[in-house]
Amino acid sequence: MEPTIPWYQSAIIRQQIAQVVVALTALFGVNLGGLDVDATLVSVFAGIAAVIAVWTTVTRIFKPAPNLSATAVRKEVAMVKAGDIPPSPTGPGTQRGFFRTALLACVALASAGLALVSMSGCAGTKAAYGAAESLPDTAYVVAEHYAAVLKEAADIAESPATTPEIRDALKAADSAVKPYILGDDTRPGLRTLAARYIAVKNAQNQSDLQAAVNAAVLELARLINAVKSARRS
Amino acid sequence: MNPTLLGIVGLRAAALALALAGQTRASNSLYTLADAAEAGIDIDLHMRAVADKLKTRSANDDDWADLAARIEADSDRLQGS
Repeated sequence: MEPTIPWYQSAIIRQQIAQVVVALTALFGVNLGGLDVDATLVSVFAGIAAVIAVWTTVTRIFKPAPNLSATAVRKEVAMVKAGDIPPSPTGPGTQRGFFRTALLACVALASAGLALVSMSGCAGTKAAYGAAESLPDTAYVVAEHYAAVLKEAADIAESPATTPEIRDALKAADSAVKPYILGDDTRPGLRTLAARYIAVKNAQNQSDLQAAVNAAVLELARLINAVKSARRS
Repeated sequence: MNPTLLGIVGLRAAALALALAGQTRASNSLYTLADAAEAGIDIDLHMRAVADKLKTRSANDDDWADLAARIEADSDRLQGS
């Protein structure tokens, strides 16, 4: 039997063609009407292309890879003779599996889902920060972000499935960030600082509010990480 | 439809199809991803509502008062759990 197969029988070549098609689709764009994916629609295609790349890698690792050309055959024979690689039969002329329609549909669906989730997972949050046109509004968005994360943290903590360690981690993260948002005996909260700035728009009040927002965001990030860890467990 | 919801539906559909095809490990992985995405969607929907509000007007004292009350209530709920 000829120790090569036609190019169109190679799963890897077909996957690469699929990837090129996806890339071309992203290049030309697709009009999805009212679907709110804005200009970042290209991320969907980038996600699909990335999944196909992973898919190709898995194919190369776990599926037979018969030679596609006489040149490849000659090189393989030479490498075997030189002892660089062990002798390996290239198998029959057909490389089966992987590019089946049903599996392709599954992979496309999963990758599109992954891309949409990863792309738009924080679209609302980005929109909120983007909608804040003044420093006091940014402070308000940070506080609302904290409120939303805190609500989820409380829901997780109240779940019977949550371990005491996770519960304690969530409580500690909340205790750390709350004073930065609402204020305590040692520092004013965002609301107070925002009100001061709105009343008197001077450099000092602006600087104080900006510093408080920055500090609150840093602490909020720790609470968000604690919630993410709790979700994964 | 919200793109995140669309993504979650896609993940769950693919997970179901893979489960029916007997690919249980891949199916379980996709279900886990969908669950994680679903858990975070409440925060994102909340923030989208905040964005919509700020597009029409700035936050006022009533907004802050309402926000502070929600924070205190949820913080109490968390610390008391």
